[in-house]
Amino acid sequence: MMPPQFSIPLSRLESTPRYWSAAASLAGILLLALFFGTLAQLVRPVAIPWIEDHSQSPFAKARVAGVELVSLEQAKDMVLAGGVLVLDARSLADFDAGHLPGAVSFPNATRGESYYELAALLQPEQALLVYCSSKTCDDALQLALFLREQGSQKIHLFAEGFQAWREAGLPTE
Amino acid sequence: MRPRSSTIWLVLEWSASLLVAAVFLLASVPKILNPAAFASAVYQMNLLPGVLVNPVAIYLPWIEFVAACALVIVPPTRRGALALLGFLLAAFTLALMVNFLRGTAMSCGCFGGTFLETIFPPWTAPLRNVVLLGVICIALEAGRQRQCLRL
Repeated sequence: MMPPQFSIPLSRLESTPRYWSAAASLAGILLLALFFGTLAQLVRPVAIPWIEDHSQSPFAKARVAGVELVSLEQAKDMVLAGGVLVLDARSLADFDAGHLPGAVSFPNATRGESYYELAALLQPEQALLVYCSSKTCDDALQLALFLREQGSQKIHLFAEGFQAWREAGLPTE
Repeated sequence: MRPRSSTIWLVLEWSASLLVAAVFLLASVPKILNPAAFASAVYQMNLLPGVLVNPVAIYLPWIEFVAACALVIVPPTRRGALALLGFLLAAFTLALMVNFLRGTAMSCGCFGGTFLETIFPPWTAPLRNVVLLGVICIALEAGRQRQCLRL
């Protein structure tokens, strides 16, 4: 009498794929990412700090001040839909080099003068969209706070600024 | 000769994996190139303690990049890569939903602030993630079915 066979047929073993376990793959991917991330951080000419205080960013300050922030997508919708007065808080030179469609130059540095020039447009109920050069500039936030003091009630701060608008390939003038 | 159903699962697995890999490569490269912008986006989400913002901005895009590459280049790691990307997608979706509920509908930063973020309105981001999660499930199931047929 033949003894019972408990072994797996060789053909079946050969056809069994030697898949790595999901856990080993996961660990490998994470280790590689850790390696490349650290390497990139070390060789990058301008690396971000490992730990940074973001609380002084215009976004954080706007949130604390209660100014309404709008995203790039929201800003795009507002500009393309019309009905909102777009104010460019950068210098006149920057404005002349390129700005959002329909924007009006309102340099924060000379906001007092600009306010009197544009007073007729700045009714309290007029919706305003204020921006400056990028997410690191403070001019748009300062202008938004100034306009709020003057009575404007519908101020939207596009804190990502002209840089994000241009990088997204949106139309400029 | 390979059974026809096995070939179908193979094609389905590869198609779904390629799609997931393409999306994550498109998402990770801009963030790797501009970690400062991504750090700002992570900070705006207002979900992490300050000390974790930059480390997440430094390493998360690389996790996406390596996992996306592994999906295509090293098929044996596919299950692990898909599981990891699925977990990340679920976490991103949760973060987006929390921010929508808070009313802070800022740019998600999912594609590093490139034009890809402006193609669809921000409210579609969670929907897009759910669809992508479905594709990941299809890839995992196709891989499993193909394995069963080969045994």
